[in-house]
This record gives sequence, C-alpha cells and structure tokens, in this order.
Amino acid sequence: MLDSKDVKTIGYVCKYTPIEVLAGFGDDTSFLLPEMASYDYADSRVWPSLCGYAKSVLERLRGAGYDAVVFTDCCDAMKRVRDVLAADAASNVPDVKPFILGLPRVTTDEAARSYSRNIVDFISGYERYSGRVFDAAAFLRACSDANDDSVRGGEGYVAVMGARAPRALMKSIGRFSSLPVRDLTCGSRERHFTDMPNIAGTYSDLYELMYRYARRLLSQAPCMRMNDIGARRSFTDDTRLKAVVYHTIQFCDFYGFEYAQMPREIPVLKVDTDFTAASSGQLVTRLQAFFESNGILDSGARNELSIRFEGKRGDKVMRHKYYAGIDSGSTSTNVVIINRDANIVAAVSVPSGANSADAARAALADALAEAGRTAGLCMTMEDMAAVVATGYGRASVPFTAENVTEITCHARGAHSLVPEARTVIDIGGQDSKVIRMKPNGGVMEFSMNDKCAAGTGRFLELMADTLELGIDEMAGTGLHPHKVVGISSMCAVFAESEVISLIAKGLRVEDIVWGVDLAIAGRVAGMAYRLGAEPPYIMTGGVAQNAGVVKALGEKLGERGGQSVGVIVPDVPQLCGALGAALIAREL
Amino acid sequence: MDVVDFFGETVSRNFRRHPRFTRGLLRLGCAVQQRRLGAKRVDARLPSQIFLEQLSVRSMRMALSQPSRLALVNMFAPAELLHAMGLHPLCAEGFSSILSGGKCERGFLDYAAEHGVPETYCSYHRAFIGAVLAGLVPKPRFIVASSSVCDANTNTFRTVAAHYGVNEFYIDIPYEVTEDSVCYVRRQLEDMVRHLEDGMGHRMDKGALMRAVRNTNASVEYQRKFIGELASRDFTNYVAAEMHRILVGHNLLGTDEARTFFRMQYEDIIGSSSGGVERCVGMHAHKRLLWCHVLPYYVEPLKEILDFSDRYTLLMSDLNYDQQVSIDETDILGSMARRLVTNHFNGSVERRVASVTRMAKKLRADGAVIFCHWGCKHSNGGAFLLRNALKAAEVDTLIIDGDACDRRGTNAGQFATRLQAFLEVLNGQSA
Repeated sequence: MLDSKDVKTIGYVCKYTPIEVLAGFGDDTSFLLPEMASYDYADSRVWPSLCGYAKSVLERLRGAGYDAVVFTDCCDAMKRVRDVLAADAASNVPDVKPFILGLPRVTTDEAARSYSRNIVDFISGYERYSGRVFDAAAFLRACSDANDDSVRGGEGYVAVMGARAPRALMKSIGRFSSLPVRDLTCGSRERHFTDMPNIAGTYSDLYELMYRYARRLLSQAPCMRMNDIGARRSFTDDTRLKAVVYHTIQFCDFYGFEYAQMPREIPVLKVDTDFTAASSGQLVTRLQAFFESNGILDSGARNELSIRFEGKRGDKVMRHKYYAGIDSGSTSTNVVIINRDANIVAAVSVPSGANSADAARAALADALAEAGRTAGLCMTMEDMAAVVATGYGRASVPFTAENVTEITCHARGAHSLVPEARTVIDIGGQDSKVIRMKPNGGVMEFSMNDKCAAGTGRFLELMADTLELGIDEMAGTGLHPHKVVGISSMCAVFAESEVISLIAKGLRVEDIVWGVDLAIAGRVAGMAYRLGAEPPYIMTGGVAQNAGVVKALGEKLGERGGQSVGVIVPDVPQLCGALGAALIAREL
Repeated sequence: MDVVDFFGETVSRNFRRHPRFTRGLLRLGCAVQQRRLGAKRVDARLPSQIFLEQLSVRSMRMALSQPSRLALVNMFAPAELLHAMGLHPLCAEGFSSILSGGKCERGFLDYAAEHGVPETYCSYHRAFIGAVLAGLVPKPRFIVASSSVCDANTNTFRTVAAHYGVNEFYIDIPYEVTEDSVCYVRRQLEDMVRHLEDGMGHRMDKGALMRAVRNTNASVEYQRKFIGELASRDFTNYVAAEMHRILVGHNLLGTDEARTFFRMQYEDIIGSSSGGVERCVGMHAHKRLLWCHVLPYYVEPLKEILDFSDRYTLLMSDLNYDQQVSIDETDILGSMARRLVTNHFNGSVERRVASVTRMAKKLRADGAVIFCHWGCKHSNGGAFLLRNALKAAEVDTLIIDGDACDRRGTNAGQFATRLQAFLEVLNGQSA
C-alpha cells in the first residue's frame, strides 16, 4: 500500500484510456472536465480554432493538481494539446508529464494486439516515470471494481449523447429532467470487464493479459472517432430512451454528423457549447423549453423557476378576467393583454434598457392604461387573472404566475394568428429560432442560434450602421436590387469590413443591402433545412418588419423547390411571443 | 462576367435540380481547361507546369467519366495499388479544389451544412460531401481512405460510403512510428489488395503493379534531384502549381504521367527543356519562401506577390515534401506501409517540425509561411510549435489564417496586409 503522499493524480481525456493500469500502480485517475473562465494561456500556445475542451484541458493543466496526464490520439486537437505539453515539459513548464497511447480506429483482433503492445510499452514507461512496479493483481481488482452492471434508466431515461459534456450542463439536465439521466457521451465512464481472467497475484504473461484488456476497452460502445460506429445504434434502439440532449462542442466536428442522422421519433435537443462555464449557463432556456415541451420537466425545477403572481395560481376572483403576457427580450419588452375570449385588448412595446424588471413594470403599466382605454375601465393589476413572462429576461420579471420559454410562447402565439402555419421563424435582436409546430401549435422541434451575430437583428444593425442607414430605412432599400452582390463572410465582423470594401468599389447601396438580406436569410434558411422545416412559414420577431429580409427568406427557403416561397408576416410580428404568453396565462 | 464566373454561377444555379447536367458541365469545364492549356503558352508557366495542370484536370475528368473505374479516396490512399487495378482515384481534397477553381464551391458547402455537416469542418471535406450528397459525383466502384493524416477522413468517407451504399476500405494508420506499426499497416494493405480484387473480379496484374512501383521510384528519384537543384537555384513557381503538385505527388503517383511530370520538372530546373533556361538559372537573387500546408490559390494579392515573381521563389509546400520514399520491389506492400507510417504528418507534431526545419535548411529558405486552413485542427494545433522551431532555426515565419477552398473564408485585404508586412520585414532583415 502506498503512502497517500506518494499517490499520484493522473488526468485522462478519453474513455479508451487504460486507467485500470494506473490503478495497478496505486495511483488515482480523474477524467478531465475543466470549465475555464478564459483561455489566455491556451490561446498563446495553440491556434484559437481548436475546440474549447482541448483549450480547457491545456489551461487547466497549467495549474497545479495533476502529476501527469495520459492522452490517447483520440482526435487531432488532443494530439496537439499533448504536443504542446510535451514541448512545455521539456522546459519544465508546466510540471505535468504527458503520456500518449496510439489508439486504433478499428476493433479487429489485429487492432487489439496493436493496442495491447502500446499499453505494455506504456507500463514500461510509467514504471520508469514513477519508480514503481506494475501490480497485476491491483490492476485486476480495479477491472473488477470498474464493472458497472446496474440497470441504467429503469423504466425510462433521458440520455446525454455526443461529445463529453461540461459538469454544469450535466447538472442542469439533471435538475430539469423528471427522468433519470444517462451519460452516453464520449466522456462516459461506464465500464464492462466481464470476462477478464479471475486470478489473484501477479499475472505471468503481461502481453496476453493486456490483449484481453485491450479487447474489452475496444469493445465499448464506439465513440465517433472509431471507424465502425454501428454499435451506437443500440443507444437509440433502446425503448427506454425517452429523450436525448445531444451535446456538441464548437470546433469538434465528429458529433454533428451523428446528430444529423438522429431518428426523428426520439425528441432530441442539440446544445452546442465551447466548454466555458458561461456557455453552460446560457443553455437554461433551451433545456427548460425542451423538457417542458416533452412533458418531462421536473416539477421541482418548474416551481424553482416560477415566481408567483401575488396570490397563487388558480387563486382567481371574479374581477380577474384579463390575462397578460410579457416578452422580456434583449432589445424590447412587449406586453399583450387579452380577455377571456382571447381577444387582444392591449399591446405595447418599450425598450428593455438595462433592467428587465423595470422595463416589464413600465410596459405592463402602459398596457394596463391602453387596455383600460379599450375597455372603458380604469384597469389595474387586480384585473389580471394571471401574468406569464417569457423571453430572455423572463426569470427577472417579479410578478408572474409562471415563466415559459419564448420557444413555446412563439409557437403558441403564431398558431393563434395563423393556425395553418407549421414553422415559425423568429429573428430577434440577439438570436434567431426556427420552430417546427404540431398542428395544435405545440412545439415539435426547434433550433436556435444565440452564439453568433450572423443571422440576427444585431447583424442588420451593424450593417445599417456601416451603410449609414437607419434600420427602418434599410428595411425597404434592398427590395429592388439591380444585381446580386454576395456578402460572402459568414462572420458579422468580417462582413462589416466586406461591406466597407463594397462601398469603396462604388457598388449601389440597394444592391449591398440586398446582399445583406440574402446573407441573413441564408443563415436562417440553413437552420430551417437542418430542422426539416415545412411550409407554411410564419415569421415573427422584430426583423419580420424588414420587408427585404422577408423577401430574401422566401427566396432562400424556396431554393430547393426552385421557386420562392411565401413567408407569412402577421400584423404585429414582434408581439407574437407576448401573445403566446398571454394565451398560456389564460390556460393556467 | 468572365468565363469562370459564368461557369461557377451556372453550376451553382443548377446542381440542386440537375445534378447529372452539372456533372457533365464539370467534365466539360475540365476538358476545356485541358485544351486551353495545351493550345498555347498562356503565361510564364514552364513546360512541366503546363503539363502538371493538364494532368490534374484530366485526372478529374477521367474519374468523373468512368464510374465503373472510380475510387473515391483521400490523399494518402496507396495510389499504386489503385492504378495497378486500372482504377481512377478521385481525391476529396483535389475534387473540392476543382470546384473552388471553378468558383462553385460555395453552393456545395452550403448544401453540406444544410445536411448537418458542421461549418467548422474542413472546407475541402465539406464541399466534397456536399457534392456527393447533391449527386454531382457518380457512385464509385470503391471507397478507400486512411485514418491518417487528419480526423476528417473518418467522418467524410463513412458519410459518403453510407450515402452510396458502397463498402469503405479503411486503413488504420497507428500513431506510433514503429516496426510493429509498419507490420500492422502492411497486413491491412494485403487485405486491401484482396478487397480490390474481389470488387473487380480479377487478380491484380503483377506486371502492372511493378510498372506502377517503378514509376513511383523514378518519380521519387527525379523529385530528389529537383530538390537538390532547388537548394541552389531560384525557380519560377506559382501558387496554384503547388496545389496541383499535391495531387500528382500523391494520388497520381505510380502513373506514367506522374513520372513524366517529375522528369520534366527536373529538366525545367536544370534548364534542359525549352523555356526553362532563362527563368531558372538565377542563383539566390530571390527571397526564398517555404510554405506549410495548403495554399489559398485564389487570393489575388497572394498571386500578385508570388506568381512568377522576379523577387521571390515560392520553394515548396511541406505537403509536397512528404512522399520521398522509394518502394522496395521485393517488399512492395511493406514499403508502402512504411511510407504511410513514417509520413511526417503522422504521429506527434515533433516529427513534422523536425522535417520542415530540415527542409528549410536544405532549401535555404529565407522565410516560411504557415497557413492555418479553416477547420484543420491537425495542422493549426501545431502552428505555434512549428513557428517557434523555424524561428529558432533563423527562418522568419508568418502564421496566417484563411480558407484555401472556401472563398468566403479569406479576407483578401487583411491577407495582403499581413503578407506584405512580413515580406517587408524579410527584405529589411536581409538588406
């Protein structure tokens, strides 16, 4: 038995890592899942387009806490992280010893032989590094202890698939899901060593032992870097699987391919993170909406998220005969008040400013005044049977019966305005969404972009500033272009400099604006294609008031069919979310 | 509108609804380009360079014209085995370069993205997948890919194989550069031969294989001699030629035509071919630039600075410096396995760093440009380590990013500023 001060802490990054071998040296292992606040060091050592996980690992290993790290050549990014650490280790900064094992991408017998030779070489290297001798009995005990034969999921479960997920994300999923959560990502630590030799003491033939071990390691459900991924079908074939949260990491491309092929009959939510702590926090809206729309939102989480309106839900008195919906967006706060017959009696919009709660109060006060004028009454909060908040700032609105995501609210609002619509396209100030609806207005699937300005109202604002046009002026400018000018940059920042160069070339402003309209429409149409969106399309959100973007969207959505398609724009597109919230309030 | 713009727009407008027509258009485009190059001296290209471009577009046209002999491959699929079976390899990266050259890559990139291919994925592979899914590429007889050198091979060829319903032959190249690894790959190449024989219904002609091997060995020998001369001479080069050489030096290796090209290239540099003399005899009048990774051949300022320059010699990309392994006629598959395992892009980045540093010294490079191609984690991840090593070897180095396939991915103005500033530094230091 080692003295505790001699026990080394070894990090690893891949589920195929022979961590039981390290137990054979008496050392502790830890799967690296660091969520860093910044990548200052990593960005100085590797090109920024490596995935956030790789950079997190590099950033984390610079700090204290790990004696060594064991990599496999699991992906190009991790190979390069190991290379940087090896170069740093050569100059003793940081003091972490990096090991790497070549991992086959196939699971043939030859491949297992090859991997077992690498493991044996690793054992030799680790003996030299640690000054200790490999203990086969301890290794076999670790294999036995690692077996995880518990029935996972019971009657039903939610799976997290795709790339390894940050701890904060796993925690949020656990909090929102009313079902057990199973980790089926590439960072899963489920192990099965069912037919390892049952012997005590030192095993005489190390190669044979490691061959058996390598076979077991390679027989795990394959991650996407393995060539044959047929066995991954067992994940989605399991009838106990009720829903999937599919995690991808920016700049890790493996899992986007599988996500595109996920069976339609399983509810799937795709979440994309860059492995920073902030990115996990931003996903709350989507997680809540997903679990909500699939009827598996944990009741505790629902209560925790809801801030009650004065009395309690159902605590209605006769006077309460109106319902309010508040859409607390990043740019504007919108309020709609409806009566018991679901007719709109007031609709107002105010700028959100810096404080969501203040903006909500002001908008509601304006709406009450307008509703009062409509009804010929002096209307107060007492007349509201229920208030529901939605939008980015919904959790900050203090006087609501419930808060519901804008995904659900936009679908509900859009359905009430255009019942035949099957797809909502919402382009807001900071994000854009595509929502496929059921015939009853429920959410079938949705996709959301909130990471990048391209494809949002912010993109239009940037371009309008560059062209020295007002945002309203820009809306009509591109409707009659003389020719098509491609805005080729996908990034808003680069697009700005591209527009400047087009101006410098003397191109007409109306042609450039049309190019901008097509660029934003192309981005959103791509999202719609990926979701399998179907017409009729309804466009909501502030950008729907921009006729140029609406026209461009019709062209882009119709490209596959060879002709432009119609995009329905309701009279008050920016109020659709608030209307949906009011309709939900009416059902409480 | 120039003819290439017209071509790009016609392809982009039609491929979604008329993929077969578009395929025909692409073949026609290759044929026209091949004839145009053969008809007259279009600019300062050397004879070997004209032949190189003709060879490159011809190979694409042949591959698209004969689906029964078509093999979709990556850059490192063992070419000699394919040629010995009479197959036409169509390389993913090469095909996407042709699309980009015809200014029509954008539609296929978007098409791939609509089908879920991440936008952070290598644009060569993304455009290729888009073209396959859109029906531009005919169903192939074979799909052969190696795991090396980058991750994209696994996803791309798995996706393509599933689309066509064609079994992929996958060569797993180990990370470790050892004799065990060579043996492991050798056994896979034995399986590959059987796979090709089963698919074609006949045995591999040993004479055809030996001819391919001898062509490769002659090509390698000419390339060695060319590099030897390049070490002491300036050379007329241009950006697009480096890209064409990647195709010929990998997927066409083993053919009579590749052998002819490498011979002509050597003759050009020693000035024994007509037209080669006056442009190749300079001795270090130029600043000499090494290139690392692919080249964004369409960026106008880059072409203006480097193409046929009388100030700079674009020496070579490290992608054209990696196949210099002769094949032992008594152990053909073993030699080919060794070539795959020992390729300087395989394994740790230290191997590439050491090789490029040696290359810089051998070719007496004054400066180096490391191009970080969008989506290439394999190369970009090691960019700083490579730069540090080159600087330590007193080779001034610029890291510059962009996209060599997707024209949207490189801002020409910013590119020009960075490159020109680097060259100003380079010239100032040596003045």
